[in-house]
Amino acid sequence: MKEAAINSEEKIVKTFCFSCRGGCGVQLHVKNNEIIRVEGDPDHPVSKGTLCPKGLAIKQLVHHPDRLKYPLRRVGKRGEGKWEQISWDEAFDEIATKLLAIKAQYGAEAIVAGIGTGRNHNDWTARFCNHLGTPNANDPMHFCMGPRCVASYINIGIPAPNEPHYNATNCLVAWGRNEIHSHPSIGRYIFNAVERGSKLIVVDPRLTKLASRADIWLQIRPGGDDALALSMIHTIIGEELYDKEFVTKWCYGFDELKEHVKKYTPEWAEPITWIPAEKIRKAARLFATTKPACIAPGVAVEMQVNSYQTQRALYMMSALTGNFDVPGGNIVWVPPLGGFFLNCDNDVLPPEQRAKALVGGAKLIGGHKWGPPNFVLEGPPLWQAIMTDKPYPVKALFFMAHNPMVGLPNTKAVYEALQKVEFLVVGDFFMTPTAELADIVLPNATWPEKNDIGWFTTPLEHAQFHDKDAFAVYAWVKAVSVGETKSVLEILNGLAKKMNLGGFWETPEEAFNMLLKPTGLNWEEFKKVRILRKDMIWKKYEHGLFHTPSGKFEFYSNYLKDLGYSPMPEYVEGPESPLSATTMLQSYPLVLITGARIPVFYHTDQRNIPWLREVYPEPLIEIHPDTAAKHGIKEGDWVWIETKRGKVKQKAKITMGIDPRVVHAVRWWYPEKSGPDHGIWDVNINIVTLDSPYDPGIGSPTMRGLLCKISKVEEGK
Amino acid sequence: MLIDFDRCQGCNACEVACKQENELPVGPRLKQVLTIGPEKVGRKLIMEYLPVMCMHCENPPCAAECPVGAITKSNRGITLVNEKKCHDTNKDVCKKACISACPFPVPPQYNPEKDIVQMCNMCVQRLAKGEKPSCVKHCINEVITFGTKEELAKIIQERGNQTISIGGVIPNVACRPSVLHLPAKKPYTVS
Repeated sequence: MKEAAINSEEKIVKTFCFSCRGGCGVQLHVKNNEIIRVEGDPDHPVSKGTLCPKGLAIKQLVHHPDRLKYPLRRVGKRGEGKWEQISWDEAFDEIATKLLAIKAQYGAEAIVAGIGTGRNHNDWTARFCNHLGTPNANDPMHFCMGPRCVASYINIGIPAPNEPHYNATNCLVAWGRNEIHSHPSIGRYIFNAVERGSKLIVVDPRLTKLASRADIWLQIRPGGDDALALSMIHTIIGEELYDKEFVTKWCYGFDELKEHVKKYTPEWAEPITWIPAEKIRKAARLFATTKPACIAPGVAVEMQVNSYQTQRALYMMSALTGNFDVPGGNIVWVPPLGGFFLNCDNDVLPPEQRAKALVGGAKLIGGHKWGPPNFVLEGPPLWQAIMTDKPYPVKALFFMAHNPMVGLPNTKAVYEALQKVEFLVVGDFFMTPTAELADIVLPNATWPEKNDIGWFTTPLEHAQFHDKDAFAVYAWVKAVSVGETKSVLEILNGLAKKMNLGGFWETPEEAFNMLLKPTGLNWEEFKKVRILRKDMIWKKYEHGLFHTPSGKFEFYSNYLKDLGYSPMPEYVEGPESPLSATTMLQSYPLVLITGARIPVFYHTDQRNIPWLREVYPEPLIEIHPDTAAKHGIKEGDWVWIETKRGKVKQKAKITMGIDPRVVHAVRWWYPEKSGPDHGIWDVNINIVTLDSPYDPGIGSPTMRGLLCKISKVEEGK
Repeated sequence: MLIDFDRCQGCNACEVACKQENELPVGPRLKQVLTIGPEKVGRKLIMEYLPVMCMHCENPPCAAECPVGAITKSNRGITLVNEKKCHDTNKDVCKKACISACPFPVPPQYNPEKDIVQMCNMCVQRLAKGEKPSCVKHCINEVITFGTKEELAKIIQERGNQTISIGGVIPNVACRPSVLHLPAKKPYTVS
């Protein structure tokens, strides 16, 4: 009898994978509170029973022996790795007391939240910060997706990415976006398009599989994206390949743009982009004369100093050719749960607090009027505030699902600041190099451990839209529990209660009911419906989509001009490039790019999942055979990668797929190595990347297109 | 099984699906996605991912070399390992002859946890329940088709009656594999 009670029946929980930001359908086979098997859900309208490796391996993450399961309090010196287990009540008490004391002494702005690339808690964190009174809630929007949102805000007045519509396109431009590896579940829509006969133009310094299928592959010099985009616009306008009707009726500033791009000829762009002028023309013509066509701009463009202006230029190419918000073009999804950034309670943050946002002079972030304040510059301005108390002291950091010791540029600066900050709280699944430095560590729940609404403030590139052009939100259903883990929303609920802050709830379900209000459903009902979708409306500009001052798609932005920025995208060379730093080039002769997506990992996660790590066991630097030979480097050798910030080593992967003047290294840490650093000082490429100077408008650092040198690691050294 | 690697995006879902289905530890990899290239072959630029596993030969050399006859062909043409026989055999004596006998990129894989050699068994346990093999089901891009030889022959015919040996990875040998690879439709042509 007793055994029967322990041995529960195997049950199947239908939910949605969130191992990336995907939302593919899964069936979790659960027995005795353990996931024993993962299957794709054949009833899911988009993933149709398939899954990518990150979803298939989720049981190894959820039930990993190293999972954080209980709140921990540091007992030794910072980073010494000595902890004691505490209760949630103690943890909430201690955090609440500390944060309230810091707020009383230094002001709420001395408390800074770090969000990481979302596990669906971005808006809740911004909401918490608003109620607490601090403008400083960071997610990595300043160099990932944010530039697309800002570009769109300036062009059309709506801060949503203008996403490529693969389903109906006849010409796809994959620009610094290797979607088949960043979102494998979307791969099929790209391959379907190509098999349907869609043209494919790939802008990528690396020969990816997509590039190998391209009609035109533009092997760009990393950092030359703005020059390439501007010279393509030059060609489209100069050869009168633009959509005159759309431009006349719906666009503002065309004459200014025409004049502006006159100087950006393909011949001018050739030495900057390393792409022959004729090839640029060919690509521009193919894009402009094939209808419909779309551009898939990626993060590669955003990890550069001219990030949002370059994204603006890419979206302009789409508008110029009449491909905006039409099937097969660049589109703005229609979300079922109201608009964007609506649930952050932005209005509760007093304007004088909002004005204190740590933005380091970048005027398009930090509680800028289009969005919530969860878009601050987590970089030099924050580290400086911690180190020097200027412009004011920052005393507490509250990080959830955030591992800046691996993910942010210039690790040394991050490390110094985390060492110095008075109070650091980190919530995550595992003891990361960031969590190692915390005062309080909180165990976060993974997606199978929580109820949630898969709902996004910005419609990103999720697979679940693509089957019938309809934005989806979906119900995550709790399948298992591990230790005492809590979702970030539960943590914020608990803290808000202790701190007597408004805006939060007793249970997550109350928050879900608030979110669901526009649909007329409550959480219990939604759990049964599982997916809610909202049909696409095409050409929304005919129904008042353009919220710009001119009411049109703006090529020329008076708004930017008034802020002191260029009203139109210009060419800006990065700080450490072969063109801008010719003296440095003598000693650092190679161009470094970092962080291309690895299909078995999501950002810095999952390096400790056995089935995934087996596929990609070591950090690899891609080097052209000629360059490798010049340095006496053979396949599998450890290679030093050195910039002005320092050096790290990764293993050589010798490949024809990269220009001899370029090398590519990946993001890495060793979860299995001992703390506090888990090997990051050896292999973490962000030790050598550059956080300053950054994009003057939104603060994007340079993580792609830096100067470096390489050498073989000699044995015994 | 027919592998249309034209659509393979190298995401490794099939490999992890296989690991789960066979509850494999780190080490044995019954299904692997090889990267071919990037390299120039004539005027073509080749950059492909190629899922490979046991080829289920009609005359499997691994079976011929196994001293205890632990590897057999099922009536559906699937090459199967008799796990008990394999486990009960002293590996110092048999020297895992099946592994070296295999001419293909993914030979039989030794699983130290179970002290047996394993290879793709086409998920016979799933087939018995009327399900597709796990790698076939989970492949996002419908790269892998499972079916009878006749069904597959039809697809091959539709695609120009060509199966291939790319870069010498799949040698053309007399053991008549039942896992076939279709050529890429449109590799990049260098101008």
